[in-house]
Amino acid sequence: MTESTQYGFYVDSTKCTGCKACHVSCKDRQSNNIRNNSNPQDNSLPALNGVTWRRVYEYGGGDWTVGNNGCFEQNVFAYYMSIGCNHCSEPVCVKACPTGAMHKRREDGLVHVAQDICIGCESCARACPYDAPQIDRERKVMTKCDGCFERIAEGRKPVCVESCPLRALDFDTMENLRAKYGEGDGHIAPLPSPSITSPNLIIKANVNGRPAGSGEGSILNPSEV
Amino acid sequence: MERRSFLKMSAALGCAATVTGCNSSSDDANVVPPTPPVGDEQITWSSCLVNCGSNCPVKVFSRDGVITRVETDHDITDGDDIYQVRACARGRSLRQRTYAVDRLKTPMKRVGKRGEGKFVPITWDEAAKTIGTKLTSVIAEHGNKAIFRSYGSGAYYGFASNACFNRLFNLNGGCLNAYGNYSWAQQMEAAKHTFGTGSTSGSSTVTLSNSDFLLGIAYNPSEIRQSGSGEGYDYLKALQKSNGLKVVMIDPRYTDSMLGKESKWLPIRPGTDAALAEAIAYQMISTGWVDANSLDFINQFTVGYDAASIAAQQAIFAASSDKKEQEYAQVMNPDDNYRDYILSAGIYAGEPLKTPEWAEKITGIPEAQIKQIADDLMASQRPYIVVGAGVNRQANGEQSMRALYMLSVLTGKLGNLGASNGELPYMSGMYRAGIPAGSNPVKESISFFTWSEAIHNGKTMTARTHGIRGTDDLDTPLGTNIKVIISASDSSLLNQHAEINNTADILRDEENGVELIVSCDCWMTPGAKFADIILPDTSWLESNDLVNDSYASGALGYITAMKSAIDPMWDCKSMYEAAALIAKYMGCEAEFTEGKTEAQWLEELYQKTKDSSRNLGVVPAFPATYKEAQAIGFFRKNMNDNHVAMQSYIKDGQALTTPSGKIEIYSAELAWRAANWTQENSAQNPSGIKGDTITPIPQYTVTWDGYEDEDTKVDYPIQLAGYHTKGRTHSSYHNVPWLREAVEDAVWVNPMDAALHGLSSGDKIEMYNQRGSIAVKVRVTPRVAPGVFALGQGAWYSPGNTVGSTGHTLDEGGAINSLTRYQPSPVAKGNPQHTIRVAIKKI
Repeated sequence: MTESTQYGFYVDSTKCTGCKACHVSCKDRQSNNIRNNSNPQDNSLPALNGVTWRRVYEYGGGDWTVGNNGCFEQNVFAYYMSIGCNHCSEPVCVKACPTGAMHKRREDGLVHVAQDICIGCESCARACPYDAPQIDRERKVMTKCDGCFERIAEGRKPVCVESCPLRALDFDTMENLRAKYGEGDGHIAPLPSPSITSPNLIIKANVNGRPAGSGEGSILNPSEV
Repeated sequence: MERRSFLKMSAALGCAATVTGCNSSSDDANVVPPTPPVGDEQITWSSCLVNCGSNCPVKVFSRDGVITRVETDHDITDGDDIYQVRACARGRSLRQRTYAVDRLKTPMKRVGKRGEGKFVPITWDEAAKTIGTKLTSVIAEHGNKAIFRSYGSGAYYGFASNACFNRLFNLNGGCLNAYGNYSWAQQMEAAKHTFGTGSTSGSSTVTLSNSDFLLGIAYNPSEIRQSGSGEGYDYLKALQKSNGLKVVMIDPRYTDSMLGKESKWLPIRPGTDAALAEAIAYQMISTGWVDANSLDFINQFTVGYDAASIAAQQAIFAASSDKKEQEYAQVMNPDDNYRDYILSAGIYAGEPLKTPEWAEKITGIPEAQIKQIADDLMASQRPYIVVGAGVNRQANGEQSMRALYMLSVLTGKLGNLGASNGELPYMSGMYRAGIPAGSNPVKESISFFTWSEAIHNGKTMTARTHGIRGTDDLDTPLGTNIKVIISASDSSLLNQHAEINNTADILRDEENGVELIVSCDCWMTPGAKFADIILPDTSWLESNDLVNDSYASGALGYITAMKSAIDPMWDCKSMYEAAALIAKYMGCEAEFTEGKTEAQWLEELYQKTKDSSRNLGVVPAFPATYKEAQAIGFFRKNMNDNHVAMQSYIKDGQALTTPSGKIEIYSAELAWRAANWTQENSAQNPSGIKGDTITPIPQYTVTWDGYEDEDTKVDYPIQLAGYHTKGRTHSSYHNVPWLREAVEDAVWVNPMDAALHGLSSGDKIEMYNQRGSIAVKVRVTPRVAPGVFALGQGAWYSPGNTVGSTGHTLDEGGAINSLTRYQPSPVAKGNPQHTIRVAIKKI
């Protein structure tokens, strides 16, 4: 690894159907990282409601009119955006953290939270425009997408990427991702402008894609993300 | 949560947050070391065996008898020919489902009333003895037709499947058969009487890239076939390959099969598809296009377009020595032809013209758009028409399906690569041998949907009244009521059958109804609560078995040699073991097991599978023994299906299996049934149940609880559209918390309706009609048509203590079947579970 190594994600929003395989496969791994699951036969597995390292935002909008004959006219659109953590080059979560628990790893650019230092103040969560930090209320500690660093070390991709039924996700060094996909189409809503945090995220835009910051649509699935 | 709203807010507020471009890399902070791996992790292969059309493999990681995580197939690099089979969110949640809190852990017997859910543990021997003794006495008293294994599509095992219970029954004189299924009952009849097919002989998905126009009606592979090598995967690949294909999608919902992949979405009111089809047909015929372009095709390959074609076929049947064909000739009526019907001519003179303007008022699709569809179809050289099964699960869905199938016929392009006839795409799969169920000496079968009625009325149900098959003639009754039900991997016992409150009442009748209900399952489902005896099944991840890719799994076929990741938990036994133990108490254990162990059975089934010619070329090659196959786990091959609908008939001259051998616009068999079968609504009984009518040509029919049903319009003003949610497969996986969070159960409400009813996202409402009440959350979304609410089906019925607006217990679980109606369809005697009207109330 060189000092400039920076991992990031690629999301093809023309392929994503919002199936949530990434969200759920991440939960399967995540639950082992933040809970003791050694006796699930007696204890079942934790629901971890509201602690979701990867989230799939459903963004859509459009207007309806009903004509004289009761027939419909509309310009409805929708698409999905799957987001974990973008392991930003200017991570506002790190800047907001009062204890240094939230930190960016020099060796791979992944943003991790040191749970033994974290005081659960949620400053990072308030700062992050991607909802990446996810508070574990039961343990009063912040958690987040760690880039599946142990899988990367084995030459694998993160669990979300490998789970995607439609092959809409990828993860690699930004250098490799750019070589493969170029710079992408720029970020689209509901993502914020990349100028805030310099996220390591390349997007292939859905044809319905609205510009980042657009108010044309809204997130249609707030309870799922 | 404030945090949660940030991403949404930031989009709306144009990114108010700012940060200076500092170097925020926290080099000094503690770096968390990777968690060191503990012990030896085992990897075994299992499979998700639900009824979505694919059986995705899953790779199970376990350590010291505990499942630690679940992954999927990454054993090869994706190529064009073979590629990875990636499970969807459901398969990825299997660890939580396996360790679910509501796992059935020991055999139990009921101690309260049926449905109360009060049970006490018993031993396997007591359970098996109770069941075996009862089966023996019921067979002696009522005969084998009193024994019924309900539907059961929750686990597509090859070996330890619920067919083991059929094997048990067949060793003891058999059981009542059932035909048809909850997915496709009406379209199977529609396709049979039109094309002589089974409704899944449309052109293969891969041929879509050869089309120049896709017309999809209720076609939604991205949601119902989510496997990462399934139909949804093939659909996306074909569309991306066909760059620029015009795609018109008709659906009440803006589905995930659209999301920019469509050229146009035309929202339609549920159950009005036939009116749309007729208006398109009107455009194609009345403009003279059919006469000029496809009449030769129609004359050569079809019967029923005009009077002459029917008269000619009638003469052929009249001259036949076949008794049935002679009967066809007697009932056929050339005046009742498609062209006259569509143009309101001949005997249909005076009926409203089937113009796009007429259809716009019914369907909600503007006249200009209907004309555009007709123009697109007429201009297309290779029109790929595909009708999803949602259309067939409506009241009189047979006719809606047939009405839509007609469009492919009118184009005259059938048989060409890229064109399709409206049926679901043909898919084959790899062969796997299954447990031999033996042959059933009982010849009679009921429609799968009428089992609940056969509990009290089986004695009198006939072919004429209920479509009973296998009886001597139209009026010979089935002769027996159902007395024992084995419900194994099954939710049709309550949750997935229509009209839950009605079903529950029938099941509660211990005196005159079913004498024994057995539920064999892994979880305490709503239906299991109505059992007298509960048998705890092993889950997939605890099982050794041999399974294939299932029935609608896309271009790739595959075999998974399942190996148990952990030993069966608690006191669970497989369905094979359960049935074998009952066999012991019926004195046929040796015949049942044939003296073979599980390993021996699997070896035998594997050898049959291995040697099948259909499986030639599998990657990797099958090893010699099943044990070796389990170590490898997963085998695949591209089935290279390149099926073109109707090609063997149109291009190669192979006659169809319809009575005429041609495409039947006018169905001789339906003419015969119209003349002979009981219909609730007929010329003699015009005020009977609306839509319960059989006609030889497809006709748009106003049905009970349909959009145009004046009787229910005022009391129940909202049409409710059921759909397949991504968070379950039917009712399977409902009890998995990760999925309940990932895919919210909420009813979709158009913003115009939200304003009308004063609803916001997150509100809780009661939805109710004459048949029941459910409590659901609201999601306001532009992705559903006004006047239509849409709810994912399969949530588990959970009666609370509240009485709803129409006197029924409020179902807090939100099962859509609390609102559906038990009203078998006219031809298939199938399920009309998408025809629902409701009223709502905020709670």
